[in-house]
Amino acid sequence: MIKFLAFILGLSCLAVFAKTNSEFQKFDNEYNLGYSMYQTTLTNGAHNQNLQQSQALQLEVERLFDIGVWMNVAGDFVVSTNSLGNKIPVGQESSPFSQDFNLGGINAKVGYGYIISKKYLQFIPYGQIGRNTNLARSTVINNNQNNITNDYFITVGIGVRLEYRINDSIFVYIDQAGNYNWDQSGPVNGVQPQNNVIYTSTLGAKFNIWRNLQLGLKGFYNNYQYMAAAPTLPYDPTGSSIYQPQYNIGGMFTIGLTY
Amino acid sequence: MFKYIFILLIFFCNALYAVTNNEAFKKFENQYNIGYAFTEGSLINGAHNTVSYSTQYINLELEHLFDIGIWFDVNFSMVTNYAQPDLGRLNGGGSRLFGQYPFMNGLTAKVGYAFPLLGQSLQIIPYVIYGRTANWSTSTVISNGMNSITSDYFYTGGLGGRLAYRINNAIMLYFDELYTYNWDNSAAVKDIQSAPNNYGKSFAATNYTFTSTLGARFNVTDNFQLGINGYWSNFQVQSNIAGIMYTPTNTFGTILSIGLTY
Repeated sequence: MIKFLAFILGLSCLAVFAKTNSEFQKFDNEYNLGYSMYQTTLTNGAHNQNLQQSQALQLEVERLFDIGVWMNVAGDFVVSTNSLGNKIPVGQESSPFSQDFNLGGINAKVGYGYIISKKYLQFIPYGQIGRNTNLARSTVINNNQNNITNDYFITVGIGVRLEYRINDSIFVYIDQAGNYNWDQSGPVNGVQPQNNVIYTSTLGAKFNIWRNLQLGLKGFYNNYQYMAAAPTLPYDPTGSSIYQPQYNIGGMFTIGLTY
Repeated sequence: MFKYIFILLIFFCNALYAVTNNEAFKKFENQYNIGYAFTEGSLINGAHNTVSYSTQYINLELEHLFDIGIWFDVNFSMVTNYAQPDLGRLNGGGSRLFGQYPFMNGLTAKVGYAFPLLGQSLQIIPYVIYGRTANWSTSTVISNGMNSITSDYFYTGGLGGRLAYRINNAIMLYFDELYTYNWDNSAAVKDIQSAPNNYGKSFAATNYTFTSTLGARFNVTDNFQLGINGYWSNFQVQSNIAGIMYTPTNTFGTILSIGLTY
């Protein structure tokens, strides 16, 4: 009985503690539509480098509960890529894909918001899970161009976010995440270099400009670390291993509503 | 001048009316959810041969009903599983990438105005829809010379109406009828249309879609909402299908969703 009362007391203290997050809820209880632009740097085994520019659309929903639980769910897909990545030779077959495997996905982050300074500073450690495409040209071709809905990653990782509320209108944050992209597409020539770890650094700002209208801006950097060496495709006349994204850098503009 | 004042007065009264009558519906329609869908449909070619196909997809939905009665509903979707028989190279058979169902991902937004009809029980929402949806049919991708896949998409525009019936604070039913025009923007199809001898067929990527949806929402606890809907879509291609190319025709689907109100 005492244990039970202590548990209830603990929960109630937690709720009271977390209730102080109302200033952050004004920024974190929001949804938005975003448009991003980014540049990806790809290299192959011969250290040749190529660049690709892409644009993407995103729908994002975020919520900070009274009890401190925080979540962020986002779906995105690429709407434009230039032809540079598409021209990378990986074989004799043509393909509508480039070597940048991420053409979209849906990802959810769930964490807990710790108030460090009642009105100004919040710290959120979180876990992430998602499903993202692995539509690299080499993957699709080497999987015999079979059903592309099988070419995807299960994405799992952890991250932290530090939020600083400047005033009722401006809020900035930094977010650092590490995710493991677990390839589900099957092997490429007997190896699976697509499994990778992606480190994402984000610096963003939110602006509550009028009533419930919120604008957002963020810059991000993704760094890819592969779990195996990139393969050389048997029919590749260049004899080089495939190109793989090494990092990308970009920005996103969002327009949304708080609630 | 009097006309102008009269119009303003009507708008004001309407807004006031909506403010006082939207509250019950806002408890259902101010929500977001994540859903998983299962569909079964038919593909048809110019010789009227039909085959079945199936998809599964994830859907992220965001809906809001404002005090003044304006309503919007934004949906992001991404196909996670697709199956169809081997229909030959042009139609995605023999190891050719996709299938003949083109809508592999998309983002659409509906915007309308909610008119309460019977106080807190009945609501009708005429709306417009606009969006961008993938056109990843194998025939399109091949015809596009295997150029960048991100060039293969539709602009989706259309009109619809939704009738919502609130049974009580926990259950709401709705019926939605939607007409959309999927305007193909893949350069290849335009090229094919000017060169119809390719494969000896005409290509029909641009299409009309009629979608009827019957759904229910359940406010299980304060902010927790479950949803289910069933829908039927009928696709009408804009140009004649003259041969072996298959296009979707009738599709039945259901979405199960879990979400939060706010």
